[in-house]
Amino acid sequence: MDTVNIVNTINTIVPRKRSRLIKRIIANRWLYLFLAPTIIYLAIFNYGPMYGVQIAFKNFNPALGIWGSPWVGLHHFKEFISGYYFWPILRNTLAVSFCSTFFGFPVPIFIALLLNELKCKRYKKFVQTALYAPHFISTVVLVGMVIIMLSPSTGIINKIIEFSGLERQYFMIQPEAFLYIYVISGIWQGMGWGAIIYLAALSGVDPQLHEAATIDGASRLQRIWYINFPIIKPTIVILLIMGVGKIASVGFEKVFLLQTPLNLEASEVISTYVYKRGLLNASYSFSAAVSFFNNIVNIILLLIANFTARKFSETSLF
Amino acid sequence: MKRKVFALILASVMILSLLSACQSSSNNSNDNSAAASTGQSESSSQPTASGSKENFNPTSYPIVDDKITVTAMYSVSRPSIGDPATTTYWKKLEELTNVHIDWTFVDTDETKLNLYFATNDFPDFFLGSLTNDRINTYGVQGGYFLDISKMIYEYMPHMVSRFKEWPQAEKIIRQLNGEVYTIPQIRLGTTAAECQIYYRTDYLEQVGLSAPKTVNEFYNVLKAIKDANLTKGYAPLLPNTKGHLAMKVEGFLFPAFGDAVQPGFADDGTGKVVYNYTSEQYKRCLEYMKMLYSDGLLENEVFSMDSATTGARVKSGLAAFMTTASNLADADFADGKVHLDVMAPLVSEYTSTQKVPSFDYLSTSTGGINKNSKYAREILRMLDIAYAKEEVAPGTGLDAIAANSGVKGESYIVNAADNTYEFVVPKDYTGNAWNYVRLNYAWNVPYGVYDFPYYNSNPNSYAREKGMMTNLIPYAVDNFPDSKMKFTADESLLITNKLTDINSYVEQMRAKFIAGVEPLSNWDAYVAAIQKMGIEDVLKVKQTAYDRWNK
Repeated sequence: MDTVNIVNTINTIVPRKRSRLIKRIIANRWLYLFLAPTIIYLAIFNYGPMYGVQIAFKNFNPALGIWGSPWVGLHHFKEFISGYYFWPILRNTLAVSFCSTFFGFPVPIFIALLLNELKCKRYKKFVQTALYAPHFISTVVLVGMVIIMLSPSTGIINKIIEFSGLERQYFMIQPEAFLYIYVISGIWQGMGWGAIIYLAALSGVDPQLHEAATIDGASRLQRIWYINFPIIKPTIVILLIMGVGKIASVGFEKVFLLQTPLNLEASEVISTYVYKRGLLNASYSFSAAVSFFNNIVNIILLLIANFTARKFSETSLF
Repeated sequence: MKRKVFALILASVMILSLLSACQSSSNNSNDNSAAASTGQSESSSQPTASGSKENFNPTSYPIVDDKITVTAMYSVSRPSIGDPATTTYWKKLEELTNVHIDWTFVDTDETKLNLYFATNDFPDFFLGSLTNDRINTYGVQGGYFLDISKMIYEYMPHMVSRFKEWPQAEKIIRQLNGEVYTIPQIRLGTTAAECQIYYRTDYLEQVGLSAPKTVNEFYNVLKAIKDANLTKGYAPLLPNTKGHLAMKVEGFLFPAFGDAVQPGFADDGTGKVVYNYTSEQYKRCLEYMKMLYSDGLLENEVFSMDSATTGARVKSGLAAFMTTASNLADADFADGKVHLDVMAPLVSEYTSTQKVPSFDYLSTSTGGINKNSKYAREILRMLDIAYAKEEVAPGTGLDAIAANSGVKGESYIVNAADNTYEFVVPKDYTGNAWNYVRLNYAWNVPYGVYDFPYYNSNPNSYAREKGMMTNLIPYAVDNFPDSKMKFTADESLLITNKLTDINSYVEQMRAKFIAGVEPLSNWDAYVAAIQKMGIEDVLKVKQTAYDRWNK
């Protein structure tokens, strides 16, 4: 019914639409002015360069330019999909990403709910700061720390392993260890920071709800589960959809820095492959095609996540 | 009202800052295109352009009467070289020639270089960084570079005179279309060696063994040092990085296991191009390295170690054989004297000839004179000075050696009696003398002739240079001209597309075989995978290019 109404209104205002629009813009000119930098920024830096995507369908030669290079159709896509590395890197990309999303995602929620229950303000602040701190360590330093900690001869992790009577392990060369290293260090670095947004949402909980629940005899766990959790649920869903939308695009630096020739079979992902082929070997067209393929996968995943979220809860991006 | 005014100011500041960012970049490009277009109109009539003809001296110095400014790009990691305005060589060069160079420095990182080139906004000439691919893309296909095939004979007499001695140098600069865009570099002297493995002679003395001659002896020496605990439990053979494991250690060991010298592309002796990474000889070499690795003689953490860590290990005496040893000073040895030498090539039951891949003493990556440049002749004459056997003008000290080491008598002092030289560095300077030279006297330039026949008198350098001259350079076998052969656009595209994945696969499998993660019984699967990735196509292209090269 709503939709029909809207369609009718639109139909009636179409002739006067332009003047209305101008009037509206004039009326809200200050708001539009504030919006302008963002729109200009997006247009120049995000939409403007998109014409360059065409090099994925061309044999790009920098000397001939983007428009002057010859068209080759889907040649680069075919070459990538039939290539030796297609399945391994697709599998690695999805594995790294799924694991970091699905193991990393619940941790900040859990932490936010726990922090919210802390009574002592000073202690809460201390814990919060301690949890945020790793977020500010740069990736290069973080990876350096990880490699040093995991070193078989001098690393603290191996000292602990040896102390508990097990054999020292050279984790950096084990392909099966890569995923754990990546995901666990990622959770450690991001959990405190990720909790901020949920803490903000939790601060919006009406204390009266808790008071009422306490009077009705609800336990603390019950209050968390029936009051706090439902309030941050929309935030969780939106962040989850956005997380899923990024599944096929694994951050580049950390994977690249953690790579060794021996864990490459588990650590070569699309972004590092694109870097090696495109920027190091100057196969711009090929890597543009790989990146384009990656984006399509991302969009499909985003749409699926959005659709599922709309189906099962009222929250969705669009 | 106040609020509105504030909002307006804020918004306009934001928009202005955005626009100004755009504006400055568009301004730049305008300037450049304007410069380029004026350059073009003048260059079309260049040889007779009245303005530059009067100013230019074709044979004497200064090259131009009135000072001119040319632009150039040099790819270098900036903190390692000095300011051109105060560096002896460049300062003197400008005084002599009256040509001022406006430098653009780009980091040596391949990513940044590729991005720099992709802008198509080129200086008057490039000091290095013109790879075969770039010459192909921007010179042969793009037409951005000036063909200097005739001009070099007119304006570069010193360089041309060197062609008699080095006919290959004349060959490598010529492209398939017959044009020439770059000038060569000939680099010899006491450091022109590849695959150096340095070792501490004091450790060998302590275990009572002499320098190894066969691969088995090498194993025994390593084992003895390890057993004697001279390296405190660490592996005695320490490559600087995983890159050095392939380039230096593997490059050094591979020729000991058969007749071939290089593990990559090579001539099999009959003019046929082969890929030795799939050869039986390479398998034997890997088997040997695996044995060193599993017995703890080759550093086990080499795949994730960085050069700072390995450097510190070398410095503290926790390695006996290493690929970088320049940081070892007298004080790092028990008796206060450097005990270093370079390993001589090994032999085994598969070969009795000592051999090692040669240093790539011939290359060509400098030039690429912009087609729109007004000063091609001036630039060529100026670059020619780095090929001169003697100083080009009396009292200047500018000759071929000066381009790399600074001016004789001022930057370095030769002691003819014992065939050594010494850099002039302040008394309180404690670092590596070469660093001082690069910052104050001369850069490490990728053109010209560098054939310095003296040894550096610094004890560490002397030991290493002497070692290379005695143990390595005499056994060097000329490399397969992989980097010198010319390819057509289609050929080089095919090579890039196929070889990138193959190289990455070989690197990965090398590590796996050595570390024992992949048993060598899977060798056939490894060879089959490389076949499947299209090595035959690459070989066909390389063969065509090689046949062309040999003609």
